Amino acid sequence: MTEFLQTLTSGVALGSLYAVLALGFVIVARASGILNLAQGSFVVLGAYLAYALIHQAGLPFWAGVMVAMAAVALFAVLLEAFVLHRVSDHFAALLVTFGVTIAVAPVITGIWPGDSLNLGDPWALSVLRIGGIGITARDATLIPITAVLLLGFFLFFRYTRVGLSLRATAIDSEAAMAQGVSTRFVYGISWGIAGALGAFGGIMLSTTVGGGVRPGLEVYAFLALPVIILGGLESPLGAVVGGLIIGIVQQFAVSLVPESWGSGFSEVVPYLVMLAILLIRPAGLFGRREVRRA
Amino acid sequence: MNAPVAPLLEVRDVELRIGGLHILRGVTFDVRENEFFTVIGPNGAGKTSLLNVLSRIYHPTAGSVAFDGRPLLDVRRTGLADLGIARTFQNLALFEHMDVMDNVVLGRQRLMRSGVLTGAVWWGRARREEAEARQACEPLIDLLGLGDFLNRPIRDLPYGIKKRIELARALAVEPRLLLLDEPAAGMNDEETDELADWILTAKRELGLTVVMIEHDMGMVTRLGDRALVLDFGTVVTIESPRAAIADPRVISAYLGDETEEADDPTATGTVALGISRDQDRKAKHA
Amino acid sequence: MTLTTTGAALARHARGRAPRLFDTPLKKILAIAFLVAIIAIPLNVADSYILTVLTTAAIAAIAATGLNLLTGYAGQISLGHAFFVGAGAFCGQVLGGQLGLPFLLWLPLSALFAGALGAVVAPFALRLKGPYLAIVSLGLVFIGIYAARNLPTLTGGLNGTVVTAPVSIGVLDFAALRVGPFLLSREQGMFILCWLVLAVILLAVANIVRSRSGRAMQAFRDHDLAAEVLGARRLPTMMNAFIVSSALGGLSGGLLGVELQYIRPENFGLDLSIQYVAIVVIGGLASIWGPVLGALFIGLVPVIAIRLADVLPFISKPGEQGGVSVSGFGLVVYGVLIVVFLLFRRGGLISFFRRPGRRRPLAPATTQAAAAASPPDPAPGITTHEEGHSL
Repeated sequence: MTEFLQTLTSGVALGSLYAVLALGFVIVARASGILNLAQGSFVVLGAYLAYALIHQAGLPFWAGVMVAMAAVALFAVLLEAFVLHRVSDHFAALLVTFGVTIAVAPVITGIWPGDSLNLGDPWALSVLRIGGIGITARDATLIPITAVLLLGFFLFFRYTRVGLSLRATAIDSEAAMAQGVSTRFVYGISWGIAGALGAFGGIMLSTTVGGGVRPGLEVYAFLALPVIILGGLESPLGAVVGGLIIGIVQQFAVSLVPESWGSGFSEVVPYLVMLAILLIRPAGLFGRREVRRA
Repeated sequence: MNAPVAPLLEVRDVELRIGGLHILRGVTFDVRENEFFTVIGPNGAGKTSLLNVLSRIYHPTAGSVAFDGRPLLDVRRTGLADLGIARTFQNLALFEHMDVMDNVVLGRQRLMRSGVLTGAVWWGRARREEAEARQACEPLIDLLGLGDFLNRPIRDLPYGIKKRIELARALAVEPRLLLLDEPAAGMNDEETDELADWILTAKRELGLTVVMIEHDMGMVTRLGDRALVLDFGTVVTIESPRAAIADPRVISAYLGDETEEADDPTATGTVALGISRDQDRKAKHA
Repeated sequence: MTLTTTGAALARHARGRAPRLFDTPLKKILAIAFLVAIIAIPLNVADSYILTVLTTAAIAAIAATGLNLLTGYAGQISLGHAFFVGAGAFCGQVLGGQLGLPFLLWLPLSALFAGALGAVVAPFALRLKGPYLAIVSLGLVFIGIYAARNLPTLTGGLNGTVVTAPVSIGVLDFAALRVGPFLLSREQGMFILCWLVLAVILLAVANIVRSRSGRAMQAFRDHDLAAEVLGARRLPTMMNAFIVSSALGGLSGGLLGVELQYIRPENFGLDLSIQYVAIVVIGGLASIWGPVLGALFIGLVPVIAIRLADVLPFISKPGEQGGVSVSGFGLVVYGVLIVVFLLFRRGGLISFFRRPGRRRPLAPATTQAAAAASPPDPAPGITTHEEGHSL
């Protein structure tokens, strides 16, 4: 039983991380209608900037995190305003965002070389024991933070003017404009939030228990893409539920599967789940089939 | 009429709701074979949505549509061309990255058979089909005066030419029923007259039945056998175009509840409804 | 029938014929020059390094041509092309190296294997619109590497395998080609083989594009609603594009295996997929020669990078710490160029060679939503959005 709960807990932690990463995609998809593969660059930038601020500039951990998130949010806003703004169709937008991540990642890892840099997080390798279940200190913080984040999103979208503007623009940008909503502002906010989320995800991924600040972080952003298949490209709730499901399934799969299935199985599970979903229910859990009428 | 001939198109009690909007309400009408049937009404009346139902882009919430005696709502969108239904689109739906000839030849899609492997090999069926398809499109290209534009990239062509290309493409399908969505939109008087000539010629040569949405009352009165007036998704009346534009119910539909003086209903253009042509065209381009 | 203008009447004769690939004298000359060059270049260039770079470019061009059919002509973005290339490479070694099948069997069968994989994956990926194929194809790459690492009997596992598949057609052994009294080096023979295969593939794809199936692909790319109303069916059309694309990837993979002589699962990862995407975008989407130009260009980047590593401090050589590695530099270049070309020169490199006024491929288009059949519609939001739920 404890083993079950143990796996479940680590699954929830992993799922929270996936949810955060996936939310970044969802926010931009709702605003700009594109799959923003530059999210990968936000993850990388967040992790490495936090490292630079904490380790090199000597900022306290959480200050470094905040500043890094803000900086990446700014980067995202500028990216949308100066690059994506010029792109007129979804096809090119996807490729352009892909290009951004491809270009940014090697530059960042070139500036800060190393297989695993120490982020200097307060959790280090400490593990808490709650009722016989071990949970890393990082996860113990991550899960509540994610929950708070999500609650914040829910309230934000439902009850604030800005949140309503975002939803209105997603549904009908012309009507929203007619009501005085500035689409530029909406895009800016959405991308900024996505940048901050990506940075946060990147930082969490590169804590000591995560493996340190290292090359290849952008691939983790892509690992969140199956969540989108599961939860739908434009559903925040789908991102959360999908993330949790995939995280939990992944941890259970890893624990149940024999050694002979080899290394790297863990990282492949989300994609296998994705293929399974596509077989059974292509629209995912929350996305509705594109309203293709007849 | 002598012996009753079944109408080519029978629309019965069609309801269309999308989201929270009730777009079509109880729309019922017939279109006889070889008839030139026009659909008029103010903006937002649901005319394009009606055409979308007929071309299987929207599936009605209720009601039935029969084409040539058989239920149309059972047919998938991709089966329309085989049935003999073709259409043009209000906002143009050309294949912008292909040239004019390719666009028109795509009208022959359903009549061609070569697959990807035959295409790769080319010599044999694929080549023969291409030659046949182009030959079949030739008369249409001539008819619509597209010969000079064949090798120009589509995106640079004037709007009027693009509309003609789309019409040629629809005719290339060799349809029985041609659905036109505001074919004269954005055209001046001269172009509109030419267009009307072409449509009439095509109708005669191909034995077409036409359902046309139009705002240009000159075209409607010149070409139409009957006019269906749609307002807020309901059929206001179905009568001859001249009677329709003089009908007070129709006028008030266009102008809201204000009763305005109607000018001479036989004048060309939309003057009959108290809307000057210039105003109408300007409104469309705004 | 309306009278035609004289110009139209004169053009009529030409119109009734099927479109020809080499319709101008210039094109005919270029085609012949191309074929001649395939033989002439290796015979006159002894430097094996240059020949290898050019041969690898040809192999990449074969794969890129396949990807271009899917992405440029059919408008579907795939980030997983490397999966099919890898499948072809390992299949080639299994069939040609392990089982000893002759070249004329193992290479086409490897291509078919990759195409079959494509046929299996495609229906699921193509069911939905939007970027779903991009996501699924990305997953394929990762799944593929995992599978390759864990099937050591077929792939040599983590360490990969030597490639011993033969490259001979009858008496012509391209690894040791005899032309008269001369014995050509392996590099020379491979050059001729790969560029000849490329020439055949280019011809085949050019034919597909000018025929019914290729036209249908482009129609769906440009306006899928109108394509359906005209009777084209989306799934079969897209499946065709996907299967041919995958098969060409597999073909390229088989040749790549023989060229490299040693393949590992890592060779066929995301970086390789990125290269193909870069080739297609930079070379010129929806053009036949674009992938060739792009492959040559991309093939030069590592060469230049190594030279630049001596000059520029921020490029590090293998083993050095600090700075961008040579391969990393390549990725930066690819990423930047993808963005630059898509923003400013959608036609790609090939568009610099086209005369103005001729058909331009894929300049920025308005979104399909703008040209959609719905509107001034009282229900404007219902076009192609998925309706997600808010929290």
